Amino acid sequence: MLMPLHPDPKPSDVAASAPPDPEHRDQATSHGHVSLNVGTVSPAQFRQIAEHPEFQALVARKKRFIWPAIAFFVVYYFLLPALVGYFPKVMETRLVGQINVAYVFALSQFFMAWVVMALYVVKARSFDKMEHEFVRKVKEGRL
Amino acid sequence: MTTPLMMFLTFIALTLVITYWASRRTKTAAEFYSAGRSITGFQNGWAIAGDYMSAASFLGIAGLIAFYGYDGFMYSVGWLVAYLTVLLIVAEPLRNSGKYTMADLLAARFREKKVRAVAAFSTLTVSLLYMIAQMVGAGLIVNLLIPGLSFEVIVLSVGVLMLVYVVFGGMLATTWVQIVKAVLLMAGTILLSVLVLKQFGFSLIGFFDEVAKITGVVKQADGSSVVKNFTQPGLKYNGQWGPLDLISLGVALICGTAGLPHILVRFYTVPSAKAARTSVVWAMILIGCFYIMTTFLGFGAATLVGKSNIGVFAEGDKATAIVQAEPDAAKRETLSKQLAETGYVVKSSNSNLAAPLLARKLGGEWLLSFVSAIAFATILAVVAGLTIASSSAFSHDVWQNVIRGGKATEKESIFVARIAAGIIGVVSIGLAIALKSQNVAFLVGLAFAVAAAANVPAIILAIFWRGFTTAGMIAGMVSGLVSSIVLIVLSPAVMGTDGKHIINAAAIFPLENPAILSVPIGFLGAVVGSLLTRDAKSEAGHAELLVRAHTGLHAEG
Repeated sequence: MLMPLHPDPKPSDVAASAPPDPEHRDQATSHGHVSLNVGTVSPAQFRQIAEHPEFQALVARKKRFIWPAIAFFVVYYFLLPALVGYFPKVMETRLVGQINVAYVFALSQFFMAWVVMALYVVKARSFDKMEHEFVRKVKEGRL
Repeated sequence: MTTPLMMFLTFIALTLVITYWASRRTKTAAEFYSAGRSITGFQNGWAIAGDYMSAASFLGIAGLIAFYGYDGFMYSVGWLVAYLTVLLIVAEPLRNSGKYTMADLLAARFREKKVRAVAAFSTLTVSLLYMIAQMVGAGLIVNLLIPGLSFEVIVLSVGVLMLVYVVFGGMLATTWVQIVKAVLLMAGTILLSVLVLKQFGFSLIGFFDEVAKITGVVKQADGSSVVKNFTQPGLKYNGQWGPLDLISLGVALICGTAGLPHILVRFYTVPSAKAARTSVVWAMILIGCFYIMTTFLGFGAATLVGKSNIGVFAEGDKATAIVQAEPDAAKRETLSKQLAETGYVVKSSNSNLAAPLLARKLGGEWLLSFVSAIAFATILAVVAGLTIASSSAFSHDVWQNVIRGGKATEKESIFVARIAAGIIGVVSIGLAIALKSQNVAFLVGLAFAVAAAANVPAIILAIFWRGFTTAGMIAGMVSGLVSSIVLIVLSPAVMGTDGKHIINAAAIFPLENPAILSVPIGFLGAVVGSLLTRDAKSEAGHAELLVRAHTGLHAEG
């Protein structure tokens, strides 16, 4: 279990739990909540978060997309100079008019980059959701 | 007053208005270094695209395609694909764990002055190399477009303007100058592409039929030569080392882009990691469209202008005088034919003028002036971006954290950044003038290679490898930096026996770009250095960086 890390509960929580006058709110903050400013979270707390299964699941899910995506685009990209450099005859095969395999493959690199980008953007939405949920739990001290 | 000069002055006036507006909104350190995190993802996408689409891309790649056909196009592909590294690995963790500079990410884990000092040194090296290449290029290109302005006057005015933007307007002015320039550049490129395609009835097949009629000669290793047309690969990257050189360049781009300081600092100008992601997405859309259109410009110049008509040119009386002064009868006839066809004679071949001369052919003097003004704006905006990235590295990393131990006030920090910008400006103006007659195009390749071999291994290993140590990080950065510089000095970019190279001797290393070797050396240095040392602090720091990078807990702003 983590200790609560953040002093600002949501506005609705404030209204429910503490009287709205400033004096009382000041008292509320002085009751041992830890602020999330740089330097105030101890290395031990970072380790606790880093070792939390929910955090590790988030990182693992990101890596499961990112590493294969990198492997794919690196192979796809370096195939172009390699094929063009070492198998020029094959690459000079014409497809439509004077447009050849080499040109189409080079042009396809642009679309490959955009497709990987789009897939990541879609995936990243679910990462954002997990991350948001997790950060909220940390801030509310609910882990 | 000439039309191009008037267009230059209009752009300068606009940028000065932006700078004045920005200066009134630049008071705190966060405002000076990162525009107060007030830039949206969409705006930042344009600014990143602007930072990246330098004159080297606009004029250089169009020229490469106009002179070498397909190989020039293949060269341009890597510039977009490289952004996948930025998107997938660097952008979000950097925004989440840092404040103003690349070194912030590393310091989040290592928290050592040494680490900051080495990272700042690498940032300054990359920026200065890139900047000198841009400044020398600026002087030469603008001098070609407006012969009335001397090299020194151009370099000096580019230097002074970039300092005005950075010193008074900080990151906010630099960003908006970059956005305005990117919009102009895209508009000019779209206009030229449409005009080119119109010449071919908007038929891509018809266009390529014309492209295939242009040929070049490739000399083979056995001494025989082969004729190839412009749709076929091999006109530039040929011979024993050609393909490997292109692969090496690819390594420099794929890794180096994610280590360019002036691109990295852009991610601190947006409010969140999500906005950082959005900015890469917009940048990738813009950059991709730009490079695809560059093909039309390059092939358009090859077909409509012709390789022999691209170069430093003379018009009017000067042109007639050159034709009359030519002693060789056959050459005189070629020149007078050129004059009759194009209205100018080419004094010396220069591929950088492919896009401007294409503009002249398609839209006359007005379009030539517009394209020249865009080239000038491009250079100006890119050097301003480099200046702010390097002055932040000096002030925030070296001064604030290494020398003053984090105790400098915001006022002092901004003051030092402004002084640093001034010093960087003066040094780069001086070096650009001193290197005027040298071929410095290789400096861009070197900047990418150093960024790829020194910065990127450090960033990737810091985020993903728990066993990475402070000593390993320093060893990796130093070995990446040193190996890139040593290999390029020994390469055909610097050494050659034709009298055109800086060192007059046969090259020892066969490739023009060292990245294929220096990036593995950078990684190796980092891994070996880490395995040889133990560092409990860095292991604990890894948990912190990991949490910060993935959740944004603690992210500034």
